[in-house]
Amino acid sequence: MSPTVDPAVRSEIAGVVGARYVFDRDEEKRAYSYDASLIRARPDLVCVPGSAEEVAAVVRVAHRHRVPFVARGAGTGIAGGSIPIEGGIVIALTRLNRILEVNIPDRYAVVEPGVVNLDLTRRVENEGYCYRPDPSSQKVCTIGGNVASNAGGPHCLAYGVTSNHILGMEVVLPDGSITEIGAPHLEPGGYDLTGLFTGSEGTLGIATKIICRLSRSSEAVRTMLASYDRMEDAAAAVEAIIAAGVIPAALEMMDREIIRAVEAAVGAGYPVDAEAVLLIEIEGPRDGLNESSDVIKSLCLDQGAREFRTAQSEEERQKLWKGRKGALGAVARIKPMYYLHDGVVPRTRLLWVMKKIAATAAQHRLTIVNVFHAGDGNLHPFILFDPADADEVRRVHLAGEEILRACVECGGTLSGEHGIGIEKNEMMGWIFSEQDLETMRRVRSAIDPAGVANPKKVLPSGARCGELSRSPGSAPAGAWI
Amino acid sequence: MNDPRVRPANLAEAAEAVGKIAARGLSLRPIGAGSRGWLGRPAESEAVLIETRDLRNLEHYEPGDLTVTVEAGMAFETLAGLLEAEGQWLPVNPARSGQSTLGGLLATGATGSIRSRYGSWRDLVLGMSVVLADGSLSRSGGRVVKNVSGYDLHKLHIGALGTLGLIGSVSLRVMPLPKEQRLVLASFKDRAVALEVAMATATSQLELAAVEVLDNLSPSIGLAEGTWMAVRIAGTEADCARSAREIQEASRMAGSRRHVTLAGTECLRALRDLNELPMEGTTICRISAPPSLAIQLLKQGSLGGDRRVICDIPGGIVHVLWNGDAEPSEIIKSVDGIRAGLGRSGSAILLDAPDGVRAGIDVWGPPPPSYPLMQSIKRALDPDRIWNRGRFIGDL
Ligand SMILES: Cc1cc2nc3c(=O)[nH]c(=O)nc-3n(C[C@H](O)[C@H](O)[C@H](O)COP(=O)(O)OP(=O)(O)OC[C@H]3O[C@@H](n4cnc5c(N)ncnc54)[C@H](O)[C@@H]3O)c2cc1C
Repeated sequence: MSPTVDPAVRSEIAGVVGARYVFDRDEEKRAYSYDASLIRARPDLVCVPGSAEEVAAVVRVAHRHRVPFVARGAGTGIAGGSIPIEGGIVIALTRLNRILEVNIPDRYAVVEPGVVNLDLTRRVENEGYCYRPDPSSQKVCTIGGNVASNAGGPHCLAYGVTSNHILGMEVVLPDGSITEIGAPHLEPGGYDLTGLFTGSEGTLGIATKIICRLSRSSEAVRTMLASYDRMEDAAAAVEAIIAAGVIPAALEMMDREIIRAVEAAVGAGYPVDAEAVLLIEIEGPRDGLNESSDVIKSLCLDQGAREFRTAQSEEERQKLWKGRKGALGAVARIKPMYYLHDGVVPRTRLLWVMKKIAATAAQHRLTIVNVFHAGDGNLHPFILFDPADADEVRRVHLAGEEILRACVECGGTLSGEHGIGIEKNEMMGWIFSEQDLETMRRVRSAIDPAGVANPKKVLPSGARCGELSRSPGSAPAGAWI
Repeated sequence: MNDPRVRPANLAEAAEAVGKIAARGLSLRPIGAGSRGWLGRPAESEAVLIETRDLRNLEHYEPGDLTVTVEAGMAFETLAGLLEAEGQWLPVNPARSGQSTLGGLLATGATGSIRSRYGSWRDLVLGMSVVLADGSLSRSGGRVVKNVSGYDLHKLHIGALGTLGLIGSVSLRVMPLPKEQRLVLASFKDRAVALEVAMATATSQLELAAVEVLDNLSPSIGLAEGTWMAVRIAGTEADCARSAREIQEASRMAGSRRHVTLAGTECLRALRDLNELPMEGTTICRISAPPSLAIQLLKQGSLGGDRRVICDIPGGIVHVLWNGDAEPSEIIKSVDGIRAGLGRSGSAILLDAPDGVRAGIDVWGPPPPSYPLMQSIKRALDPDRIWNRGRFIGDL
């Protein structure tokens, strides 16, 4: 039983975007039923508008008919944010992919939401500028999706996450009206709506233009690799570096299984018999780099690094990064599927939580591999499994919950950059009181009283994960979260 | 001072007091140290003052995490002292704010010259607990440096002048103190030249803490007449030495005859003097614009003219100051002119002004295009408009 949308809605939307940008055949709907999470649900209709005005007109139709709509960028989200769990209309923003303005003297660019993250930096790098947020998916994910999920990335340690780099946007509100929030200068006045919308996962409206802050590229960069025989020592080194007041641009950790998989897949030159490596990058004016790298080196060695290496050329540097960037793909070499979590801990609890993850893996007889933004305390444990093994799948869920519970217990949080989506909304009660959540609901319904913008996401909706996987509309195979 | 006031001893008491007062239909006005009471319009109605001075606990500080959670009544300098003891700091430098409470600084969105390098409050706040109009205590965010769990409601309260609730406690990201600091001062005969050198400096690959142009401020900080560029440098010894050398050299090439680099205690004293400029009786207009527009208007003299001017070059933030003896009608005319020059490309608000000026002009200027959306949020969080009625933009 494939849900369909009211024919009147379909024809109104076709009238707005043109019939060739409306999709509702089964295989088309399937193509928009997934993202990079394990959640699946088919939309009733997909449309691909060609302008902000068309987005607004589509939203007006949806709002008038009380049909839910879900914005979709590249669909690389890991929390099911762009999955139409309630059916309705998926509004794909891929045609809105123009960089509308680049203003180097004032250091901002205005882009449409479907612009791919890396394309913005590519556009300005020859002038010595860049767009700082660099999610590992930056070759494909969109800036609209980044804004909606407040994306992070390896270099967010020094430069902050997406919200620190967004000055304003044009938004189509859930009733289909268009408004501008923020401005291409620092004090637009009134409440910080840009701050509210960033990270709201498409539940408050659709961004149709985004003002991104551009940054001056650093003069020099230095990339280092420290290898360890014990995971604990690597974690202790991270804690020591941060506590010493040296803030690298990036400080990433990879564990034994990842190192081996990466080496087999891309050959980054990591020592395959190490238990953990740290990939550390510092940037800035060239004069200060020696001092900072000396400090980092001695802290790494103090914590028992068996090898400390500095890339001697851009080629060597790229090779070290290739390993980090290829990590996700390499995981597939170990097991067919993984469940990726995104918990955060205070940085002084890194060592503690790494031990906890190892113990959890042992207890549930699972392989858990780690490649993550260690400097921010932002974990990415990949729990590997074979979807054909029902008992293993069950244990994967238990282990995932235990790890997130541990993060919360030590003062951390559920998600550092991937978002809450439909994956962790029922866990929001672990970190927020009912009153806190009620206030969030109040703000959401002030902006979307009809409840049509990406419903059932972010805030608890009462649906249990188990029920969800059996709900109509989700694909049968692997349809669990 | 015979306004009715309450002074809760902790957050629970604050929430209870707010609930009771709101139930009686009274308006409420949060007050910290009272150091920024001049901001905004006069209150529309009589209000009960709710003092935060006793909400000054350090809730959590783990230096190794570079995060701190404090109650909002803590004085800025108290927090600065706690952090300094651990070799850390909160990288914001709003003017004359040692006594100010964190809650007051957050509510007024007060920032200073170093924001282009380190960010402003919205970039430093990790989470908040807020007392809402119905007397409930509501939290958003958390105390880790990366967090996308739920809406960032705390951002709404920054710069909202307490119109959405009482900021009860706040978690902040802090930083290691810079190893070294320097202040380069270079004087220019021609304002346009100073602006150009400053813009070139600000867009270089040197990582500078602040680049400002100061006009006609000389006597108050013991500098000679004219236009000065002030560049604050923070980093390693090697970075500081090289930056200072290059900036002095660029200034000299551009015709500056006087330029000095201050280091150590001299530098710190000068930075403090710059931050503590006396402002009694002064009318202060803060302009925000894309930097190139701000600079163009300054060059044309349509911003400030022969007034005292402080311009944060990379930030595009210009403060224009009028002495107490300036005619209100003249000030109003200038501010109207500034607003006309900016059009929709910037904003100009009066941070402080004598009553004569306030009577003739809206200190906030025209509301932003998203004002109706802001009204919806106000209605959701404070439907009876109990908080700071009348002081903020429009009816927010
Ligand atoms: C290999 C890989 C590596 C990754 N690495 C990182 C990483 O380092 N850091 C990180 O943060 N994430 C990472 N991610 C997750 C993901 O790439 C990010 O969340 C990204 O921001 C999603 O962008 P998208 O265009 O794919 O958005 P989608 O997945 O299409 O959508 C994500 C959310 O945004 C909403 N949305 C999309 N566009 C708009 C819009 N214009 N207006 C309003 N709402 C909108 C959707 O409704 C949905 O809720 C990674 C993912 C993969 C697969």
